[in-house]
Amino acid sequence: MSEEKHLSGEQIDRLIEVEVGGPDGQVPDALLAEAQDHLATCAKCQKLVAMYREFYRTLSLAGRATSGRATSDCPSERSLHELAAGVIPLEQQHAVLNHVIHCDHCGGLLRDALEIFSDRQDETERITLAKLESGEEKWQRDVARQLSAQVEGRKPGQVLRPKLHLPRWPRWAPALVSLAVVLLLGASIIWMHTRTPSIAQADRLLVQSYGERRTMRMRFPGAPFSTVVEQRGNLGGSGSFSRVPQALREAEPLIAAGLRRRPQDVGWLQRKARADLLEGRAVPAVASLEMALSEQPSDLTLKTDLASAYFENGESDRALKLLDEIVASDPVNAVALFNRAVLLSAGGRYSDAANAWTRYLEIDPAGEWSSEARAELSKARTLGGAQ
Amino acid sequence: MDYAGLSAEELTLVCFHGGDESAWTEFVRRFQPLIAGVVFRVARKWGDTSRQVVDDLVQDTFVKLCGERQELLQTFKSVHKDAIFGYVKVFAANLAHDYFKGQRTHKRGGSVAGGSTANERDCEHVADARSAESAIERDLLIGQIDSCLRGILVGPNSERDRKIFWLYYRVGLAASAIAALPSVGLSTKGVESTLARLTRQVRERLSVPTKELDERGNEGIRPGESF
Repeated sequence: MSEEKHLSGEQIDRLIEVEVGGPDGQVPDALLAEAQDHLATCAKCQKLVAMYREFYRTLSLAGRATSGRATSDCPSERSLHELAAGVIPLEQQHAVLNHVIHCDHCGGLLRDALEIFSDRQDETERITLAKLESGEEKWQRDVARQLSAQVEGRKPGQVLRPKLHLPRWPRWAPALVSLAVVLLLGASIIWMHTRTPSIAQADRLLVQSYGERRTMRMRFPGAPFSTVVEQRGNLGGSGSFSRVPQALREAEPLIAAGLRRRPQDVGWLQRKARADLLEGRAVPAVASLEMALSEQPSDLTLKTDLASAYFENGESDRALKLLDEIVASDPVNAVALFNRAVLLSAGGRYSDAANAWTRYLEIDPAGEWSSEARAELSKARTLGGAQ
Repeated sequence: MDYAGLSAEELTLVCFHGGDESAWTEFVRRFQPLIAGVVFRVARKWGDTSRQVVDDLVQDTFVKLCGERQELLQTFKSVHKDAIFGYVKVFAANLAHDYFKGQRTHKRGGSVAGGSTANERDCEHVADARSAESAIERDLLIGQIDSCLRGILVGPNSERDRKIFWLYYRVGLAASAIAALPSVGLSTKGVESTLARLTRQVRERLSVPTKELDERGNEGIRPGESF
């Protein structure tokens, strides 16, 4: 009786490797075809291959980590980078590796670091790097000059030599010097604070103004909850709200000063737009934000504000398109989800609005904005049912 | 002096000990591609690969390297021939990560007062609840495989082999990346054959009945050949 031939375990491994991406094309086609032919007709091998597949599927689950969280046992990110770059001392390497194989958080960081330090370059990278200014000789000479000047300012030898001839300082001298430095620093900070307009200061005032007197239905990132005030008079670009909060009055000259110093600065343009929106001037807000977005096209906060400006300017379709973009790239962006729901409600799309408010409440079930969202949801459902 | 003839490590030491402009020119020329590559990849991870940002961060890396050269000289250990490249890579990556983290914090800072941070936490809790079940299953599976591995592995290399197995299957490193870790001490081929052996042994223990394999023996359609 002739001996029956079957696929070996190793051969089945190879077949499955090919199925899941393959060993980089190292399998001769003829041998692979022969094994596949055998598999097509052999019930025993088919059964075994199925069992192997199940095993690999199970094993692959071990690698499907959810985003792990750092713990107090995790090594520093720097240690993981040093491990990936091959410059960590051997004894530390053992300890870090022992941790990494049990920690999804650090495993992910190590994987990322290895990718970052890898020698392989893809086409996009090659093209971008080739166009860098820092790759040009002139840039490199300029930086070298700067570095050399930086070094000449405090070469170790030059610093040490004069010290040998200095008389011994009294013991209280360091304390006196420290005090002088602290006083100087304090004076500098106060001077900077009073002389240089600060975006953070403008933000505080804008947020305060929004909280005191919310003149728009949409939110901007950072704005605290407050109820919408009843608008009086015409909003047509004249800023004709009956009372402009003091905070907004203070913010405007600050923003104007910031823009005088840096007319194209994205941060200042954004704050100007917010101030304009709070005063009901949608047209200049749109202009400022479009200019800012052309500088930083992927900035989600700019997109959020521009959507609000479009909405206030009556351009709901453009606003919705922007908000959809934001939500697509950041599905838990609370401000964008809220503003999108506001827009749909205002546009009378009550069924869509109800869905949008529901989605918002899923991610903000108990926050300070949730009561408004719940009231709007209820209204949208009622009006949607009546349609 | 002809700085181009110096090794990367020698050149770095010359510069860090107060090199002149020619030395720094050679340093910048030699390290710019390495630093730019690392910075670009970090920038890509953070979703911002504008050339302006990459160039700025490359410059910042040089300036900071120069500014911290005395501390770096104290901590630098030439663990192998090309260690200096590793140190510069780590330095550039840390600087770029810090920059983008700062940027993100700045942007998120604008949304803290509005409750977005709380919302994000709520959202994380929902996601956590959904994934908790699969996470428990996964932990059980990993525990089962690990105890099986511990049963299989004996001898002086058992800890090393266990690390190789999990670096491959859990962390997701390629065999070549594992082989590049000095404490592993194996070539890529060595890592691959260790993985093949361990995988087979774990499979035999966990899923495929040993008896059936025994009955089939080692025969294949071509026992002498492997795919």
